[in-house]
Amino acid sequence: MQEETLWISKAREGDQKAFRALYDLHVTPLFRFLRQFTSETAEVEEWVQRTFVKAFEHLGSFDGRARFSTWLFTLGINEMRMDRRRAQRAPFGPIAEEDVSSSSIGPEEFEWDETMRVWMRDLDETKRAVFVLYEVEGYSHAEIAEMLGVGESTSRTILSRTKRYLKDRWRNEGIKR
Amino acid sequence: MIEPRQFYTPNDLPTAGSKKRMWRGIERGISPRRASLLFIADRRSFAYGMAAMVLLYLATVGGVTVVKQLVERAQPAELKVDGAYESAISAFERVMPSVVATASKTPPEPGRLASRQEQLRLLDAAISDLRRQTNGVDLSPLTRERLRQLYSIKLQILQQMIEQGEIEL
Repeated sequence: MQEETLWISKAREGDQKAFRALYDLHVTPLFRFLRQFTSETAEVEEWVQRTFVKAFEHLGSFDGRARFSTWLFTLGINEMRMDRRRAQRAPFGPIAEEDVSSSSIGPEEFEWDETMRVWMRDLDETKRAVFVLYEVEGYSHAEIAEMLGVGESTSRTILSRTKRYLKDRWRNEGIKR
Repeated sequence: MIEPRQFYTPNDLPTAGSKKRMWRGIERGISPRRASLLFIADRRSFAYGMAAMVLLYLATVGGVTVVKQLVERAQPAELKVDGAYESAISAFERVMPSVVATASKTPPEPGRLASRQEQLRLLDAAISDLRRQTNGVDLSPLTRERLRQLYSIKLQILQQMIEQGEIEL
């Protein structure tokens, strides 16, 4: 972590080697996360490149209050959203307020199963993003809220609904497999 | 919490080639930015330099003006009068057509004209000599008086030439 802080401060001064170190540290998590939203490898590569270029250009605006990875993921998600808007594909935005009222599902009630992977594709991108960021990448709801531009409680509700959806579907279809 | 290794497939991960390719793209993207940062820094220091130069120029002009005013204020009254007298004669000479040039076009008494021209030439030479000697610092009353006399004579001659139509205005 201290090393990362040092790289950030050096990269801010234009040190490309320090920025390369930051790239090596964060490229895989960012790539694998963004990969969940497209089947085109070239598209993910494009988003990742643009994200890092933006990060280098705006390193001065990174105040260190959030984790660097949170900031980087926010940039990455924005790049993806921009492409989505340009291509007029399915919207990737905050869900409506009326959706944010659902029964919750506790962590003990959900268990990941490989078969759920397929159904992940049926989820809208916001739900998919919240699920992966929280359950796989280990970000908090506060961090996810910042990345996606939603409220923290919204993030919790989305996660809960997503897990319930996956669990219900697994009960109905997965067990039969 | 799901282990990333459990969740992601090998297809989700970037290959070594993919990482290299992306870094090359990033390098291309950030290199001009570095050059541009350098350019901005240069431009900024250039602007600072220019601003400093303008300030220095204004300060110098201000300083020179103040010193000049102080020196002028410190001048004795006699020297100021001399200066004013010289300026007046110079202004008069500037608005007067050249006597030598116009005299030839205005006969009728070529002998008298030639004599006046000679007088003026001698007066100019004497004034020049005295100015050179005083060099603007000699405040001897005798010299000042002599200069005034010479100017006065010159003005009288010029006045006569104008009145008698020997100079075309």
